[in-house]
Amino acid sequence: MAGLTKKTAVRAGAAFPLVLLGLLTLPGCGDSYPKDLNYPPRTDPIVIELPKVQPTYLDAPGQLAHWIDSIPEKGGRLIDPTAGVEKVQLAKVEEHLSKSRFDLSDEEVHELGLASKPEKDSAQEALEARRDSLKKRIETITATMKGVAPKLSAVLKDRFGTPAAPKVGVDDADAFGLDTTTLAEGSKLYRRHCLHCHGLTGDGRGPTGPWVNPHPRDYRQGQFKFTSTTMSAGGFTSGSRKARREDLLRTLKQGIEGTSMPSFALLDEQNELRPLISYVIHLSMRGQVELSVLNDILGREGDPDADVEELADKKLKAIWNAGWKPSFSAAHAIEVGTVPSYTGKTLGQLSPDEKVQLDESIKRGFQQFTTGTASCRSCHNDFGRANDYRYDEWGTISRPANLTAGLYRGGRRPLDLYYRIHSGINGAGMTAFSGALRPEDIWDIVNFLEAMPYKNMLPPDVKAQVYGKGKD
Amino acid sequence: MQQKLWAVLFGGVLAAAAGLFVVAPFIEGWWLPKNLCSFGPEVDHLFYLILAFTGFFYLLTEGIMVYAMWKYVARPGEKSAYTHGSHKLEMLWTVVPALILLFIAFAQVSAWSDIKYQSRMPAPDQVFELTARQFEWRFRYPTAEQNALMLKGWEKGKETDEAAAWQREPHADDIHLVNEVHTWKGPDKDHPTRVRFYLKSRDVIHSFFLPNMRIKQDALPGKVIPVWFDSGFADGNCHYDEKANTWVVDPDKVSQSELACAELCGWGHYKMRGIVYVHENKADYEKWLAHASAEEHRTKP
Repeated sequence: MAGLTKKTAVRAGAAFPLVLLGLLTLPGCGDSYPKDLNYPPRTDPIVIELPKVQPTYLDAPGQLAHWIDSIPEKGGRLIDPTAGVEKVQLAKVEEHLSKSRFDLSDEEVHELGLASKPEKDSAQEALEARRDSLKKRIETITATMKGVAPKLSAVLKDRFGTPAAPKVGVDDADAFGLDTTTLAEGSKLYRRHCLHCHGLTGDGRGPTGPWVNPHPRDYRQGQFKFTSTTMSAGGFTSGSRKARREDLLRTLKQGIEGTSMPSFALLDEQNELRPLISYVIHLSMRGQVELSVLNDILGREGDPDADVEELADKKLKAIWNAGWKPSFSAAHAIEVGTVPSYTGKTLGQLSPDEKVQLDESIKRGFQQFTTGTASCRSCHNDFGRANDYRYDEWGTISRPANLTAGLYRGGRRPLDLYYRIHSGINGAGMTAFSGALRPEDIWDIVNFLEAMPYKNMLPPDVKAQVYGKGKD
Repeated sequence: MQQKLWAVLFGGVLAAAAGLFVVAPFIEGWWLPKNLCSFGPEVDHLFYLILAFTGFFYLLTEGIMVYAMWKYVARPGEKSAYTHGSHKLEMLWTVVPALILLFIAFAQVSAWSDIKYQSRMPAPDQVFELTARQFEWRFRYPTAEQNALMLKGWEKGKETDEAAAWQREPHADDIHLVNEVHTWKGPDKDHPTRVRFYLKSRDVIHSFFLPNMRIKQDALPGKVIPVWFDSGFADGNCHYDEKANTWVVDPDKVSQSELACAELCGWGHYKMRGIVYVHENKADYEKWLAHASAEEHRTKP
């Protein structure tokens, strides 16, 4: 302590609490975004084709980005606006060439992005061709993005604003609760409650996002899993089925059991949840416009010279007019047909006649599930207990639900189950059965599903087939 | 004499800290939350007892320290004295705290056993199951009939087989809720509604905490922990809101009806809040229960 005089020590002692106080005023501790903050442009790859072979293991915690990057190695396809995927492949191809390693395994063929496995003596040629095409591809992407990126950022900023002042650039946005006041409020709340998982742009890659599995929803695909509209699913490239505001509200209030999405029921519906829903819709629209413009420019049949602003407006219009707007409309709400009198009743409420009818319905539902038109068993193997992992349309992993567990992500009401069977689950591989099944068939399946987790609710013969004989 | 400022600084901060304790009981929201549970006074009594001990020794030891800083401040030109210490003093300040700790250990036995020992838990009026998970509370309530069935023959300290079976194997008619404790006010102070629930965890260690009921219990993954509290001093705190078609807590009672997680359980720990609804009477509770059941069995949009 020789160099430290008493005076400095006293000063340091006095300054310490002041420094602590000062820390509180640092930017980032407040309630709003920095004024000059823009949404960052998309730099992560877009999954446009999934690997044909289903995954056998779950991506490791924190490795989401790596998992997506490895999709081409497994036989899928990506569009990468930074050409990062191609650069990695190029480095690998060049390594093979420099070391003259031409005996390629199937995995390496995928890894290097080769169309097929080359013969041993033509491998060098194939690799050289691959090298040249990769170089060309990287050049094209870099050159294209150099022109496109600033234009795309500008048009997105103009139509969708900034985190501090978000907007939706369609004429009738206000009529659907997407006015700037609501969105600004929603944006503030989103920052506090959602951003750490769902990310600034709604990419599902906030700081905590990669660490939880299932991963937080990436809104930029424009797809929400739990919906109640009759519109058909269309992937991320077109205007198609979106969530209704009621669906998003229910997800916020109930949370998604079995995932890391908790319930936000304690927030005020009018002043907090409603703006949050509007803001999520805003992020989804913005992300989908960005994604589909990039897809149209960089994709296999893309046009690198397209007019970015015109293209963005075309996409925005399609997403709004053929996606969100009709999804909001009551005309596209799912109708449930004639609900059987015995559905949705507790045991105490069932009359003896209804109990018999319910058992019959459960048996019919069981038939549908196992051998009927629905044939749910083809995915929900062993009633969901023996399910394998599958890719969902985000490139992440989902698995058909274990229906004996009594745990339903989209909600446990008979109505929720009806919706799921009727319209499927967007992006997750669960298809819509509204075309194949009549409402009464769907109700039969719902009755079977509602009873399945509770052994003694099942008629004896069904119980024996679901839970085996001899077991209680 | 600049060094004496240290004594002033330390003395000032410590006095201010003690001062906070003096004024806190008179400032709304700074002191213990309002007690609503019949074993609350026992818990609060222990709190005050320990506060008295610690407060007294806080003032004593800090007073001596500040005094010593002032009195024995460095004096230029004077040499420090060397002392080997005092065995008698050391004995004193080891034995006295040890005796106090022993006293506290015995003083809390009855409160602890009344609240935590399953063999001492009273027969309940209401049973439910609560599963904590990152980051919410998932409740499973029995129907009114099932609740009655489980209580039949329940004696102090011994749950019924029916309840044990219900805990192991869910029933089809159970009602599932997130973050909502529902109970009701007993008919009078001597007959509060006694709540018994099975506390579980689906992932990590959480801690169930109702500040107003003075009950805190860790939830451990893989264990089923019986917990009880009652609504001894609680008034009804909620009403049916026709427009929202749901029950809402009266605005002036919101601060008295909090459920919190009291064990840091991950990044979303702060999100694990819940609300305690105390219905006016059992009939009101059952009205709510029927409503919740109907909602859960909804078949029409």
